[in-house]
Amino acid sequence: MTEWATLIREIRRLLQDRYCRIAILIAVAVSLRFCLYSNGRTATDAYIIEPAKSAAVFSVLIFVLLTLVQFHRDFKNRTDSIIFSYVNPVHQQIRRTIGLCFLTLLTTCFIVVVAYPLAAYRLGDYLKIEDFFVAWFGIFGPANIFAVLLTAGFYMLFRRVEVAFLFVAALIAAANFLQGQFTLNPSYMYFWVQTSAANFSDVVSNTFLIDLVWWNRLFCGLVATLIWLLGICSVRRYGFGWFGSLAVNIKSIWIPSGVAVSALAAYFAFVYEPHFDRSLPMNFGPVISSGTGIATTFQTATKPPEPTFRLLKQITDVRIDTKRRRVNGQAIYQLENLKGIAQPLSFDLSTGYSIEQAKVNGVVVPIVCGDKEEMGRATWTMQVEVTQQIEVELLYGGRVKNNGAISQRPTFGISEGFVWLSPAGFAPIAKAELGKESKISGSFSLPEKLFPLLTNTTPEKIATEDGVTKWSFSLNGSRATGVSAADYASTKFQAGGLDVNFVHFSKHGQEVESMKAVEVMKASIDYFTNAYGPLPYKDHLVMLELPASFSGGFAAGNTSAMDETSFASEGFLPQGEFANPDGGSGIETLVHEIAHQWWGLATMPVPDESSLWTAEGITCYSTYRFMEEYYGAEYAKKTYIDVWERGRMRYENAFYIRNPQYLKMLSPADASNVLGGLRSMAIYEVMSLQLLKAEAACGGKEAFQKKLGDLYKSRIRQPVTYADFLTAVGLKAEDLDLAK
Amino acid sequence: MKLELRNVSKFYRGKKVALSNVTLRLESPGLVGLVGPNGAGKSTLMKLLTANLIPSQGEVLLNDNSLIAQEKKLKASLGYLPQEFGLFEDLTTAQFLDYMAALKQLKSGSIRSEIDRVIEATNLQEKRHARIRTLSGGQKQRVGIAQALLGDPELMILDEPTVGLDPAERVAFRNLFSKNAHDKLVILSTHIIEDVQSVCNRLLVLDKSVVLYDGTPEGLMERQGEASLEAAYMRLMSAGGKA
Repeated sequence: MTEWATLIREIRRLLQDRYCRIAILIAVAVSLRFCLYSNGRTATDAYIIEPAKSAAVFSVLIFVLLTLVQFHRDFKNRTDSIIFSYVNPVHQQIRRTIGLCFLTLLTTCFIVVVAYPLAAYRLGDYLKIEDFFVAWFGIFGPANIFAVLLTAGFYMLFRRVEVAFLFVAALIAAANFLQGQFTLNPSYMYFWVQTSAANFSDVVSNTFLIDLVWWNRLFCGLVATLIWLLGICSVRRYGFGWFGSLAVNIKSIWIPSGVAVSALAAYFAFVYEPHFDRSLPMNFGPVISSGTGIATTFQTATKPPEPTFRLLKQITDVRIDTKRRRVNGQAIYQLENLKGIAQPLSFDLSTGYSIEQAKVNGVVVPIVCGDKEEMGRATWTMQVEVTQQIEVELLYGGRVKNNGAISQRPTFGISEGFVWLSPAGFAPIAKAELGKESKISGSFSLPEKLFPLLTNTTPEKIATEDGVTKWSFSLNGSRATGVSAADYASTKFQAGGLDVNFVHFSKHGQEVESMKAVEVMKASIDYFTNAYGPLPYKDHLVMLELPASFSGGFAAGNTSAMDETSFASEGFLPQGEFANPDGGSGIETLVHEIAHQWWGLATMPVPDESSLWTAEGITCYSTYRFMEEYYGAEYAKKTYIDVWERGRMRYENAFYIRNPQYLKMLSPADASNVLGGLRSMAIYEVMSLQLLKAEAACGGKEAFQKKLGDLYKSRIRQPVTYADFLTAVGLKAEDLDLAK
Repeated sequence: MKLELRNVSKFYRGKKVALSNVTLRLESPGLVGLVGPNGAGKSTLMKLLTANLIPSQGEVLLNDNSLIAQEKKLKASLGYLPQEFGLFEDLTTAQFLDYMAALKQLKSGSIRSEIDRVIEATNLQEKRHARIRTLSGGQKQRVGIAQALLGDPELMILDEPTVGLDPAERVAFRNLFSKNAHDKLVILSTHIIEDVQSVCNRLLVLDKSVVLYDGTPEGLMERQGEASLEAAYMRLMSAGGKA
């Protein structure tokens, strides 16, 4: 009888065990319930990812309890007293663990049999098999395996059910707790139960997010295995206690070797995690925040250093390999040495890349990467000898890493269906000033199915050969460009005096058409331009659809981007109590993000501690006014005014608003958290009602919007405080008090 | 097969002495009866012989070599029934015996016939497909004996095997153990003197961690001048071990 046959017997025995059957039944039933009733920002999130995550949290508890029952009951009932007389106790505990892990796999398979057709029905063409696989076999399944390993390990270590349970429960609680601690920026590798996977796209590949799930599972698996092996070391033998049993068990060399290997592997997996760099946390002091969560222009508090080089010309040739997911490039720079002395010349390059060779005027020179990483960039420096005009050639390449200092979100990367490179991820950026005649141009290649977008310029197709298209580009007045590429479709129209190029994922074509997104964009851009003034872009505006993982939007150059959830058609996502947690249909979100072009991006409303003034309130007000004109007063009242009134009631009825004296009884941190939560509700709803009151006080919509327009035009690319707003509309703060 | 204990002592935590300087030699074939009051050290002795415990002092030898060093060989030729044991309640009798046969590493081709044999030997034919949780205490005891018989082991160590059995069953199992002892070493621990008297050819009496008597049952009766083994045992106990 082989060990394999003995293992099969153990699995068969577990399948006969009523506690195992009950555990599997409950885990499957609850998981399927989550499949039916979950929500998410995208359909993939709502119907695949979130069900798997929620199911993982629940089923982990089930398998923790089941593992404890299996290990402890046989000890307590003295079944082990017979079994361990015939077999090595260590081997038996290994079989028991493997058997339980098999049960978790079986549970997953049972769920998948129902969950897959359900997901296929709901998602239709948006279903990607890799997303489904990673949800159930990457998130759910491994979570349960880790639960078995950890529980078995702690039980064998301590030989106490309650102690083992407390340890595992503490690990579950810690993972859940950390997930809400954004300020700590905890590593995604800590979330061993449900992972931090979120915002899966319906329309492009989620390779960047899937990468994180697998690396998380590698690290967590190694740690769980380490704990389990420490438990194996501690299997009680010959009536000994922990020390005596440890001394016996480590004589089996594979056990201490396994402990050492898994400990080392876990260490290396953590330290050499490949997807995020070690960028320093950013100093947000000089940042102007609009409170929108949308990236705004940074103002540096200190004067920039005097330039030492001038960039005259740059030619770059970049090969973007979507199969190997890396970039290789050659960049040639013609620079003028302004100081005429030997001095260092630096280039910023994306972390994860390296410069393989550097030449100055045809001579190979050493180039060194600095230790500091900041905002996803590292600085490479070479020494330039005294020469007026220099030509630098760099050969560079590598795999993109993302900024590890901010919320561990994989924004940049290369996958077969989607490419997003920052300017420093496209080509090294020379730390030199730009002259009026500076020319930056070049070419890059991509698979022919991907359509590229560059900031500040439009690339031109050169040729397609063997499934690869070569593109050329030329920048005027800007030193660098990032690139995004996907299976985009493009619609051009005119609005607000600009040529607007609406670039969206081809897969979203039906949604874009059904929600008449182009008409709405045109109408809203025209409306806001008439109401407030034109946007400060020279000739054209790009409206770009981003994947859901971007979770928001941004503006850079002439590009205004919003994530794909702005284009979700009504009815596609769960409704009612399981509706999209962001709230709002696609149209409303779309117009809201467009309104942010005026309030949040072109101008930057700055929040303060005493009022509810941010970009959100004035953007909500603007959105309401447009929707009233576009869809009618009744629709706008129901969707905005009534919602704001309900929000105001909730805010004013909140305990700490009615009883502010009790805030003093809380710690400053808790009081701050409470007020922060209430404020995040009020800046949208209460502020919007205050703006309506201001509108009435100013004599109506036209008068009020004229004043807002004057304010806008006077503060383009500048912060707008509450005082600026009050001055512009000729009111005092108390005039906006809703209680009066 | 030869099992030997040389100056074996076993202490538990708190300096509780379970066995004190015990020297014994046990050889097959033979059926050794082990008797003594509660806490005498019988179960400890059995656990030392099954390599579930290691002596605090002295050594346990199997065929003149360290028992622990030959643990795998011992387990392969062992049938053990502890005094207190549990079974897998959700399995049927046959499924449980199949599981135990796998643990005992029996050849897969012979498992079925072995299960049939031990089920017949323990009179469990009617309960072959019954879930263990539905069995009575005596039936569960018989399942315990059945698993010990699997593989026809060279060494059988049975701690209170007839507990819970009715008198007729006790006689039947006594005879079964006696039959097995013709070519094996069977060590039987019991409180029931009749079990020892009728089938054992060697008697060990333990009390307060020491061996009070090691010999034949008839020898104890003769030395104590008693007509029955029970009376001889009681006299030995009351005399404090002076055989």
